[in-house]
Amino acid sequence: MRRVKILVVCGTGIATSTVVSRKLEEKLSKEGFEVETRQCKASEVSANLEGVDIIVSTTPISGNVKVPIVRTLAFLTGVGEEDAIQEIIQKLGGDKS
Amino acid sequence: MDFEEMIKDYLTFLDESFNSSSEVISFLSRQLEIHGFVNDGFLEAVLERESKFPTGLYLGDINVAIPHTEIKYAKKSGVAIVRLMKPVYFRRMDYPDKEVEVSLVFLLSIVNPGEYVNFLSKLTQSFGDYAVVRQLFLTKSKDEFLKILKDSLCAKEVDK
Repeated sequence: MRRVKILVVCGTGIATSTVVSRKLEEKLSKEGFEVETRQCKASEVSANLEGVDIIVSTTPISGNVKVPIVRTLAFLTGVGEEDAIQEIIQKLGGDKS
Repeated sequence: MDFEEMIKDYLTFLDESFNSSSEVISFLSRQLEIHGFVNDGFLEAVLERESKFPTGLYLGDINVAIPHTEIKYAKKSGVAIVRLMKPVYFRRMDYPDKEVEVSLVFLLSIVNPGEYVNFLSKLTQSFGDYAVVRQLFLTKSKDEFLKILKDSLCAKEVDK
């Protein structure tokens, strides 16, 4: 099982990102990932990048961030959830083992 | 708190007309205030947050917005809801430089952080079921509107 660390980002880093984190943990564990999430607000991304494999955000992130970013509301609204999961897996390199 | 209890007949308004998202938020905020759900400063705090972190959610043909603010402005948990006669523009949460035509607005007043997350999660999951959104958009009666919403919130709870 591949371990991934995901930084989940929303406007204030509280409610929305918690909803998204729960959903990501549920969905990605079904895809064979061991998921660790951390949450922060959009303005504090650069201080929270240590060990992070990918960022999933509901809102734009400014600045030059070297970690792949998936910006989506899919884990909040459920619209396009499967596509978003596939985009994450693809950006993680597609290898689950 | 039971999510069903947060949905109130007297906080739900069907087919009202407004010219802007600020007008909608002011109206809903006033309703929460009249019924003792929120503290002074709630409206200003919601508008301020909406300007920095907008809450328009693009779903497809029928779109929603979920304005909210910090829990310190809430006295009681509840949600003021309006279905608009004609859509108003909200800025999008995911692309704040774009706007989305919104027909359903849910203004949240929630006192406890855990409850906040749970309710937000249930509510937004309901939006993922387009049939539910469509029914909310089309139904003629308020009783039916409330029933669809409550059933949807409760059904998701059983899933877990």
